[in-house]
Parts: sequence; structure tokens; C-alpha cells
Amino acid sequence: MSLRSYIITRILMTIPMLLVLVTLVFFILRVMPGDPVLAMMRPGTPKAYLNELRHEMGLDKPIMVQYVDYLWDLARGRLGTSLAPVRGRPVAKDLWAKFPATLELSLTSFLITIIVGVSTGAYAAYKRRSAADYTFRLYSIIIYAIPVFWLGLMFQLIFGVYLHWLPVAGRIDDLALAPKTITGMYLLDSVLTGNWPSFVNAAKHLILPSVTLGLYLSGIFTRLTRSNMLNSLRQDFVTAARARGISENRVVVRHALKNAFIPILTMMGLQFALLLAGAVLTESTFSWPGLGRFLVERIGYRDFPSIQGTVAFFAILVAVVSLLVDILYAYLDPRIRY
Amino acid sequence: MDERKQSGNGIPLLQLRDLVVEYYTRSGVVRAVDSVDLDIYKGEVVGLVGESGCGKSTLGMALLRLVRSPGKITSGKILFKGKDILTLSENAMRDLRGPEISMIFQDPMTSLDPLQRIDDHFVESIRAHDKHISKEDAIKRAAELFDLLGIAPDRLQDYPHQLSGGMRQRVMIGLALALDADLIVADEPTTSLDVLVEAQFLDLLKDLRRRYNMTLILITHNIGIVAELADRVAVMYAGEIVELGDAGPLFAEPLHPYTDALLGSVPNIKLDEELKIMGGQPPDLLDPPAGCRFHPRCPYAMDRCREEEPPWQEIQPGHWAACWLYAEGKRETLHG
Repeated sequence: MSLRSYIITRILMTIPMLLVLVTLVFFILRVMPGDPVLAMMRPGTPKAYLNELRHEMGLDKPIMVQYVDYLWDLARGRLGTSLAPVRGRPVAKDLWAKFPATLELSLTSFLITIIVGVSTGAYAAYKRRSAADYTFRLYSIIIYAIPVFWLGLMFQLIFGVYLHWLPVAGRIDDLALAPKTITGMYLLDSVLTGNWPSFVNAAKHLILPSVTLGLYLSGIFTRLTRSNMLNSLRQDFVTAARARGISENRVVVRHALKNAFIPILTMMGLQFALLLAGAVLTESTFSWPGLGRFLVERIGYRDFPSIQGTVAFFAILVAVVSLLVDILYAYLDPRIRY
Repeated sequence: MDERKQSGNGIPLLQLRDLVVEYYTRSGVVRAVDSVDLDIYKGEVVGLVGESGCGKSTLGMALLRLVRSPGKITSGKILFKGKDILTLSENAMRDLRGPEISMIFQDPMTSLDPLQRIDDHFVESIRAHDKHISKEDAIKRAAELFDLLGIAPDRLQDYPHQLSGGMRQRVMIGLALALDADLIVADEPTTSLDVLVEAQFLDLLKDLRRRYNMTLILITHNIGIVAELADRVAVMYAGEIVELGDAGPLFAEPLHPYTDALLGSVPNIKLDEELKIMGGQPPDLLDPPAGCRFHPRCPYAMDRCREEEPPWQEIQPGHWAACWLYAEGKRETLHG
């Protein structure tokens, strides 16, 4: 099978996955108590008026009809329009506007996860049974067990409230400081436009949320890297490389770590979903104006199309990332061909 | 070789003096290599034979100071070209690994980095020891070696998994030759090869040793390949060398009962003699038997063997053994 047909198969395989997911979300939302009309209107609003609104929104149609309509829209790439708080606003537009903030947070967090997780794991394996090994192993369990929002709150308390080093909310102090939009990611845009004051300001805002989310996920990678590294350090080719007088650094990084990296890469693909889930909580903790916070806010409004749209978008994102990981896999390991 | 030794032509390339390697396991200290003395001269092939677990591979790794934890070289000397490598710094030791002493491992399937192309193995190894050699020159050197080893040079761009087992083992030899190692330690180099490939590989080794006057320590349990290649043979049992001599006399007339039993247990294709099976098991090195370690399995065992360690003595010229049978010059051969 060529790489192209592999990619096409994989894309086709995401369709049933997406279908199951949106179906679940669709029905769960409608089984849950409350609807957009109730969420929007004050208690005591006349029932007749509520029903009139429901009729306008099409919420009084039989649920199967609504479902088929929704699927038909989705199949044509239409995510529909918001029901609340602003009726008629295209969901796709909101998603597109919020996505860069989430992407910026996710990428930075993931970078921190990988750097911290892989380096502590590799070091722990290399210095097996040393104090550092036990410390990092303990770290990995503790950080994994800590709820991410609690970690975020602690960071806010220490670095924001007590030390006043870093801001605790938002992406930037003042929207006037935001760089000209190219990608929507402030750090990248301010570099591209050479806008240093905005870079510094955006970076300061990004530190706490991305460290929170990054450290939270790093525990898994510490453990995974350690165990894979222990295994690859035992391999014959590592001893053989040492026996050829290759420097210890090179043996450890270029041979042992590189070989240990393949399962880590797989885990990276799998953890991406967890990263998005963590992003929802982190964004809420840090008032980060991204998709996660958008989702939580719209759940409050029972804005069905926005919730369904965000979930579908996340699902597609996870599918794309796992596909990218599989392609990268083949690039890294010459034994894998599609 | 004999003339060189007798004329005292310089010092041996490698001298082991009272070498001890111990493993610190949970159940206790295991002496895998116990007070080994051995001299290796330039240009000779020495076979190091023994059963699995007798310490021969540990001895091989010790020569490169690569004994894996929890193992440790605890005492003795390894003199290479007259200087003790156990006193070298880790950096100096690294310079020695490759250009001076090189190693070929048991399993060529796992001895090459699966993610690295063959040519990069060569470039990496050559440039680790001489930064002034360009990548192109290193590849050129590898291509010449491939020619010599009978592999098409375009296979250099392959990844290890694309080569057969025999090719990979030839690549391992090539890597050792690329650095012009003075001493090559081959640890069970043919164990994972099939019989035909093994025969080809042995022919290649013979050819190479003629061409390069290679010094080789051949660690194996396969008596056949030792008989084919080795000038001298050292027999190891339970961490100790029990017999050492020129290959011919040693195979024709072994002195130590263990060597005798070992040779007797090699199947003979003519099947004209019944295969002798050596009774018993190698001893537990956590608690080795007192006296001669072979005495529980030895058909010639005497009271003395159970109490005192036998002396290491030259029983015939150049033929040494550690056995009480030959004490005080009573006997000169095992069956005589």
C-alpha cells in the first residue's frame, strides 16, 4: 500500500468515528435537562413565548428529524448557526476565531510536555536507581495525579497573587497591544511583524497556562521515556556503539533515545486528545479565550450547534494529529512502510 | 607464532593478570571471571571456549571495560601494549575502543542501530576517532571494505533490516576493520548464522587474518570453529581458565578432564563413536565447590581435588593445565 492510499484509507476511517461521536453528543445534549430557550430567558417568562421561540429555532420538530437535518448539514460541511447567546452567528466563524488561541496554548504546552517528560525520563533511565531517578519517578506520579485546574490555581496564587511575576488571565493586557493578525497566534504573529512589546506581553500571559498544562501531561512521558530508554540502553547496538568508541552523549541521544522515541511518538498522538481535554480546563482556569473556554461557555447556554461543532472540530483535530503521527512514524523508522 | 613467543619478540599485545570480574547480584557476589591470566600475541587467533555461563563473554566485555552493571572488574590488570587499561580515564578508554580493540557481537541482527543507515554507522565510527576525515572519505573507505567483504557497495545506503544476517555480520567485521583495530574480540560471531553462512563467514575470517595479520580472540562454545581458526585455545570452566595450549596438541590430547569431556561431547558426523554426555551441571558461581571446581563432575576426582585448588602448570611445552593429575610430574597425558 502506498503512503497516499494509506492516508486516504485513514481519512475514510475517520468518518464512522466522527459519526458515532456527533450522534452521541447530539442525543446527550437533548436528553440533558434544559434547552437554549430556557437557558436564555428569565424564570417566569410565559410558556407560550418560550414555545414560540422553540418553534423559530426548530427545536419543536421530532428529534429524529432534527438529527437527520443536522447530519445532512454536517455532510455538506455546515456547522449551523448559534442559538445563544447571539442567535444566527455562524458556528464555523466562532470556531475559526477561537482556534488560534487554543492552538497556541496546545503547541506550547506540548513542547513543554515533551521537553520536560523526555529529558527527565531519559535522565532517570540513564542514572537508574540514583536519587535523580527516584525523584523524577515520584514527580511523574504526583504531577499525573494532581488535577490540572488545581495546579493552575496554585500557579496563579504563587506567581500571580503572591509574587506578582506573571498575569493570571487572558492572552494579552490590552487588545490594542495585540499583533496584526496573520495566524491568530500572538507569539508567532508578533515575531512575523517584528512587534516585540506585544511578543513580551503575550509570552508573559502564555507562561502560566502552558506550564500548567505542559507539566500536567509530562508525567506520563517521564514514565514512558524512562521505561523505553531502559530497554533501548540494554540493546546490543548500544553496547556495540560504545565498543566502537562512540562518545557517550551520542550513544545515549542518537542511538538509545532515538530508538526509544518511536513508542513515545505513538503516545504523543494518543495524548493529544488528553491535551485538548486539559486545554478545556486550563482555558477556563486562566480565562484563555480559546475553544475550550468557548465550549464550556456554550454548554452553559445549551447552544447545541456550537457544542456539536466544537466537539466535531476536536475530533477531526485528533484524527489529523494521529494521522500525522503515523506518517512521522514511517519517516522515523525505516522498517515501517505503508 | 611459536618462534615469536620463544624468541621473546617484544611483549604480548595483551596480557591479563589475575583478572577478576564480579557481579553484585541480590543473592550475592558472583565471580564470573576468577583470577584469569592470559597472554595474547600479535597475529594469533586465540579461541576461548567453554559452556554457557562460564564467564567467557564477561571476559570479552572486560577487555573493553564494558562489563554491564551490576558487573564490575574488581581486581587484576589488563595490559594492552604494556599499559594497564584499567587505569585509563573514560576518555582515553573511548579512544582505545575501536582503533585498538574492537568487538564483534553474537547477534548481528541486533548489533546495528535499526534507525541508522549502514554508511552512517561507518561515518560515525570513523569520525568518532578522526574528525579530520570527511564524510565522503569515510564512505569511500566503507565502500572499499565492502568490496573486500564481498558486499555490493550500493548496499551501504541500506538500513540494517534490509541486509541478511550474514551480510550484517560482515558489516560488523567491516566496522572493526574500518578502524584498523589491533585486536578484535569476536563473541560467538557465528552463533546466529545458519551453517552455510557460517562457513562463508569463517572463510572470510581466514582470508582477512592472512591479509591483515589480524589478532583475534574468538569466544565460542563451538569447538568446530575454534578447531578451524584458532592457533591457541584457552578452555574456561566456572570463571577460570583450566587449560591453555596450541590448538593441535590441545585437541589431539587434552590434558584437563573437562576439556576431554567437552571434546567428547561434540557430535561426530560418522557416528562411529557414541556421543559422551558430560554429567552434572556447571557449578553455581554464588557458591563454587571447594578445591578444583570441576571435581563434582570429574571422573578422575581424588580427595585432594575436593580440598585444594590445583596448581596452574606447564605440563608440556606451551601446554598448560590446572589439574592435580599432573602434580609432581606423575603423569604427562590424560590417557597415557
